Amino acid sequence: MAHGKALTRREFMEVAGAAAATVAFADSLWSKLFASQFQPAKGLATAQTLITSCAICDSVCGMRATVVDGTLKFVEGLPEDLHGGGKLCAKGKSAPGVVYDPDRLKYPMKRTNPTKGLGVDPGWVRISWNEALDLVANKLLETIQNYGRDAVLILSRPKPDVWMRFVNAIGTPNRVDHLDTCYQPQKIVQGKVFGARLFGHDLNNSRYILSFGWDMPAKSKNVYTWTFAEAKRKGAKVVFFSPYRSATANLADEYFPIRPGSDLAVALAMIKVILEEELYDRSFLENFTNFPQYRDEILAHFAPYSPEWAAELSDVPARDIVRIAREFATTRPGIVPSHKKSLGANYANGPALQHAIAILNILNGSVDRPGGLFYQRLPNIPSVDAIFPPPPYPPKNGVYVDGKDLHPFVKQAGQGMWSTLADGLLRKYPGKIKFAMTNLYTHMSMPNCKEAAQALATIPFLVVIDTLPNEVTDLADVVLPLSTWVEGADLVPRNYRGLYPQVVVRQPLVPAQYESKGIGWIAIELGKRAFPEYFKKPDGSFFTMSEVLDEKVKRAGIAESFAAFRAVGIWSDPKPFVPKTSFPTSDGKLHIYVPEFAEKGFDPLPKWVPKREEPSSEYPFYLITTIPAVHRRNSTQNNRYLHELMPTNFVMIHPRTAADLRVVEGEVVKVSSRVGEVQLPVRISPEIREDCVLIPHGFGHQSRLLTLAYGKGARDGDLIPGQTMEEILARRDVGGSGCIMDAVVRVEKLR
Amino acid sequence: MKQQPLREQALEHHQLAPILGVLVATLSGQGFEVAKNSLDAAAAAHLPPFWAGWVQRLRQALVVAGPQGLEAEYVRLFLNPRGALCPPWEGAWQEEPRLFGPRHEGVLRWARQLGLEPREYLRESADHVSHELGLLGLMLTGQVPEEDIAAFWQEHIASWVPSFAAKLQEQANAPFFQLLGGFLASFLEAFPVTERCGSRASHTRAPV
Repeated sequence: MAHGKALTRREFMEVAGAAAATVAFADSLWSKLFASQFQPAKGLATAQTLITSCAICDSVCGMRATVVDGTLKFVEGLPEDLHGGGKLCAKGKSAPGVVYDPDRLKYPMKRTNPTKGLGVDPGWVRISWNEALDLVANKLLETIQNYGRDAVLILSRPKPDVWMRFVNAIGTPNRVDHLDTCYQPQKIVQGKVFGARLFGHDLNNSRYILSFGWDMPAKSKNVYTWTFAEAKRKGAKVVFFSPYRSATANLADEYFPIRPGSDLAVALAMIKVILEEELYDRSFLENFTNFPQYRDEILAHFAPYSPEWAAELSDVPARDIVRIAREFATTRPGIVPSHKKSLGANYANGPALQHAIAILNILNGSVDRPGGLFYQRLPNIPSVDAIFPPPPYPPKNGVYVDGKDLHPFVKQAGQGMWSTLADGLLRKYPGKIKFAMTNLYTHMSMPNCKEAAQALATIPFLVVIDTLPNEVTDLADVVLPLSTWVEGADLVPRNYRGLYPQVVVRQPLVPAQYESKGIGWIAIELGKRAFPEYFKKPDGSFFTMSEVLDEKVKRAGIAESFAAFRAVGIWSDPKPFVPKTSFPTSDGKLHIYVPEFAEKGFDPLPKWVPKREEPSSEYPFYLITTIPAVHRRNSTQNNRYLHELMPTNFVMIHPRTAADLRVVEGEVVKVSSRVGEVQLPVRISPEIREDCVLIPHGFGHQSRLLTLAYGKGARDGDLIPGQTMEEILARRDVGGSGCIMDAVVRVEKLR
Repeated sequence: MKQQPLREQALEHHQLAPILGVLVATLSGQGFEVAKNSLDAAAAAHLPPFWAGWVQRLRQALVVAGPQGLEAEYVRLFLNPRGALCPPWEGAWQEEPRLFGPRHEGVLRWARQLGLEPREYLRESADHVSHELGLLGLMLTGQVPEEDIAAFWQEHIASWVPSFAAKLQEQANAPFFQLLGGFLASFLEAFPVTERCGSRASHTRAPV
């Protein structure tokens, strides 16, 4: 509205909120159709503030969302939230771009073109949910009956619990996820050393942060970004090892451009120094660890790992290794963060590095102490199986196509294996899988994604459950449109920074758009059709998602109903943090030496093994991949806000490499490995080692259905080889690393 | 200035309902039966020969397309598999394409002004072509001042629906949707308000 000018009639009406004219729905077809979408107004346009939890990454930060007249306008951080601390990252802020992406999958669809292939038009037609669910459930039952439960492949993370009830009712051993390329090694190793995977990093109370390639403060997780910044503000010292000078390196007090894959050598040498000079927290080790029991084995094991040896492998000077080891051990509390997607954790020797990192934290005496790694204090929210106990699930017998049954700890972890899946589908068990469902996954996140796509294309019936038409959609027989987290409902505990039990609600900020549905609803509806006995209440009727949510909040003592919790948005039980003196391992002690590893033929202590591949004359460069700060893996490139911030990727090379190749900034080059090649423009930077090239992950979408992301950049996964389970076992890799940082490549100027 | 519509194209207000019925039913993707019913109703409405001819051609083309053909072409043109060749949302035709953005809010403001609000479950954003045409129909048949109708026409319909109609004719493979594009273009030309409002230069871009 302009100032100094009389209101126009329309402006007056808007301000007054009055109807300027009267209209009535007549008894005509168009009028009826219109009336199904609009109704006589009950009042003025409303503005609401709703609390919810982000779901773009596992930081799941609390948000306050402003919704005007049914449209999500913007989101802000929720100050009371332990995770976000009132702050949001660019990804969280992009929530309207998630829900209002025009390319969303909007309706259930089935293909009409029997010819399948990437880039081949499936000839989609919309179908009703009933038809889609009947089709999928019948095909699933038919597959189980004719080929067995193990002929079903589910590509999905193991959540939420209602979805997992459906997956468990199928009874297939073939639920596969990306965790071998993520935190599976950490989960396996920490599970044995600490008795649990420790999400908690009390960075902001730490005095010394010693980091092996952990670029988290600079990229992915807000919960780490702001607590890292807080630590710096309070004067913590930060030492950072990474082959490229990331944003974390720029914030560090000391930065070492370490040789890729040699972090383990440095960590082993530091442990040796700390042990031999007895700089560790003696009381902590004696009271809370199995150090007294295995003292001799431990000292003998680390004795050969001299700083000079490590310096040779890593390019980190021996005197710095010694000095930093001494500083770290005696500056308490200190922390060695370790998380998925840190560079060090994703080499073939990543699991051994995870073990070494766990030991360094123990030597500092900071485990479950302020300023250290800690066990998250979680609220007691019952699972759906506790609320409505199911009949016994069928045993997961038969063929594991990804080979995880060959590896005791990978099988026990029950996650993975992206990196061995194609080997199983194409070579070990061709034709075994007859029916597959993807839930928010595509082959873009798999190593050697071209081969992974070929492997998925061998599956006769594929159901894609997703919010966006990703690359795998071209291969689908049925598409089920998933609602986004902005439209979802859940209870979201603060598990990464659970200093005390706290839960933030996730609630629909807007109703599910188009005909999309939540994964819980899809699971129940498929379950009713395929395995009805698993989806019933004791009275024989089917349970609903609202009943599950109501029971969860009631039984956890959070509120009387989910609706009541929605109105409040956040629940806390701020008990004081009492450091543990007994830990959830078999004997209550932290296990520096892991007897279970030895029992199964693995190393009970971290032993030096090289990364999988080293540069050669044919492939002279290490390939580093990273996740940019403004994207979540390969899932946000089509978000208009994040696309604007970073629309494509590049290959970063050192100026000397550029001079040798005679290429200039922005010139497109060919990067090739033993499994594939990509073309990308170069970014020339002295911030990367001369022997490395870096390609940010997440770009190179090949789905033409993604209007913004299609054809932008290239996939790092086209250069990263997959592997076999036999290779993993041959290197005695206890964590089943996906080896996504192990590729070596050649860079060539295009003619 | 916009060309004056041909005499035979001229429409009286009472003749708008069946024509809008066809446009809203087909462009909102209600499926074969609803499309057929809307055309049957239009055929029975004693429209002037110019419009009766359109309706007859559309009916024939609809039968040729059949339920599955209609559906496959609807999805191909409007729902993004293979790239939403002819996006049915005004927001998609802006310099900065955006769903549920300013154009959606603009239509919602008009709806509010007419005493309407979106139902909780609004299946498409308010700037969907079927919603804009529906709102226009309500304005024409209700007690709405002509200056408001003209303003709505200028702010929303005129800025993109002609380009949408042209794109539809260009991109459609099925004769039914080619005809529908032509039918919509003729309706826009004939629409009573255009004589009073003229047209303004379109500043929208055709989505790539």
